[in-house]
Amino acid sequence: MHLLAVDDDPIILELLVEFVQYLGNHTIETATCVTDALELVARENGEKFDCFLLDIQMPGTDGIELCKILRGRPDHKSTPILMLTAMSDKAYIDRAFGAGANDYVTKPFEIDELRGRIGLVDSLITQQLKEAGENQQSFGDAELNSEDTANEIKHPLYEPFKIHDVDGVIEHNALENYVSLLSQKQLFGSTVFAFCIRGIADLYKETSGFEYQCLITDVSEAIASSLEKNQFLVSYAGSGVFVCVVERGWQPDPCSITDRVNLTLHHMGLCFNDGKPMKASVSTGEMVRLVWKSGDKAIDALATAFESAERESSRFAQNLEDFWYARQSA
Amino acid sequence: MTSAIVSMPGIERIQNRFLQKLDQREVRLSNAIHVSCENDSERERKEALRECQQILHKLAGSSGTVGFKDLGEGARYCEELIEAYLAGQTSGKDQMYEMLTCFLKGVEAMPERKGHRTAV
Repeated sequence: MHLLAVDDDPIILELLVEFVQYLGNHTIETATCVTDALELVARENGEKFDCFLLDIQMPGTDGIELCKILRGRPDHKSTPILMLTAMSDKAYIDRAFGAGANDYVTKPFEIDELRGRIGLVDSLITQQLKEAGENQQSFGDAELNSEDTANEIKHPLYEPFKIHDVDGVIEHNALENYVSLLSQKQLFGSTVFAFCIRGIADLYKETSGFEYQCLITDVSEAIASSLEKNQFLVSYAGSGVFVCVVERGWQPDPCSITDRVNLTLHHMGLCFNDGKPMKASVSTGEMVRLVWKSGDKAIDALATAFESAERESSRFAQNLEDFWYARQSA
Repeated sequence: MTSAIVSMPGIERIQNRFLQKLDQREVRLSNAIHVSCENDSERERKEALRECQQILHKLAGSSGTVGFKDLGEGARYCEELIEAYLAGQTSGKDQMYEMLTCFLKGVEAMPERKGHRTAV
């Protein structure tokens, strides 16, 4: 991999250079500010960057803004971004993930942890290149983003995939990294729950690759819109399930939040490519507070929320017309 | 110091650079603490404390990684005291200045710095 590290502390940059040389199979360039970093990214003749290591707190434009700028570039929509930050800055961590960061490494660094996280990124990139190679083989020179090609490529139902350009919606492995690395204390005010699209198996069969991708994106927009007045992160976890982490002690009422999302979906008027209306609605699982949970226990909580949402969805799957929880009075 | 850091070639050079930078940071921190105590203007006192916070934040982030764990933890503790004070918890003011003074004394007395001081 070719990395770019951005930090206003030259000691950190020297350490990272030394560390990457020590690892032996990667190369690294450095920048001490966002302006210099963007010049390196934009240059025409340099080597493309495969991964970014960004300090959060820097004078002038900070690392979170840089993360957003990188995510706005077509060539770095999916490039792994690791934030380098102190554990006490949870508010910054939340904003960084919301801006599109995949992971974070805490300062002071434990070299083994840094090695492990860069190793994970390396595996992810290898997997992405393999998948891109397989698609290229199947479709030759066809533009892989075209609707016709997207119709042919259909993500397996159970597989998470990245949703672009929806505020607060992040990749599933980023959400896992977020909850697994935060301490118990930092998660005290957090609650996790999930939404599941009702009848997702049938909808999956009825939709093309493009229609399915649009469905998942539209539902994520409806969820983000319903949660927007609160601090939250959402990820698509596959199988029609969206896992949400909300903060500051807020625990939504499951019935109210379900109705809110379903009303939004109703107003969005989803439809198939041929104009036929697509009936999509969600169920919500139990609320799981992350009190006294961190690391593997926090990941278990994500799984509990996921399974709970699937169970709720199965209960309602047979009755798609009746998606209001609250009785409507005349 | 973790064994992984010790085994990295070049770490000694980085530690020396860190200690050189520490000389500069010590002077800046000392000056900023003085301004925050003595200045008549509330705004300038807070600006000086913010500068202290930034210096301590950087020290907290890098010290432990290059092998000076106690220095990093001390810097983090002082940084949090300043953050609390600037956020309105003014009852901790005396403790904050006491800890900043202790921190500076600890930096001065670091055995790794003997014979290493650079002119600033």
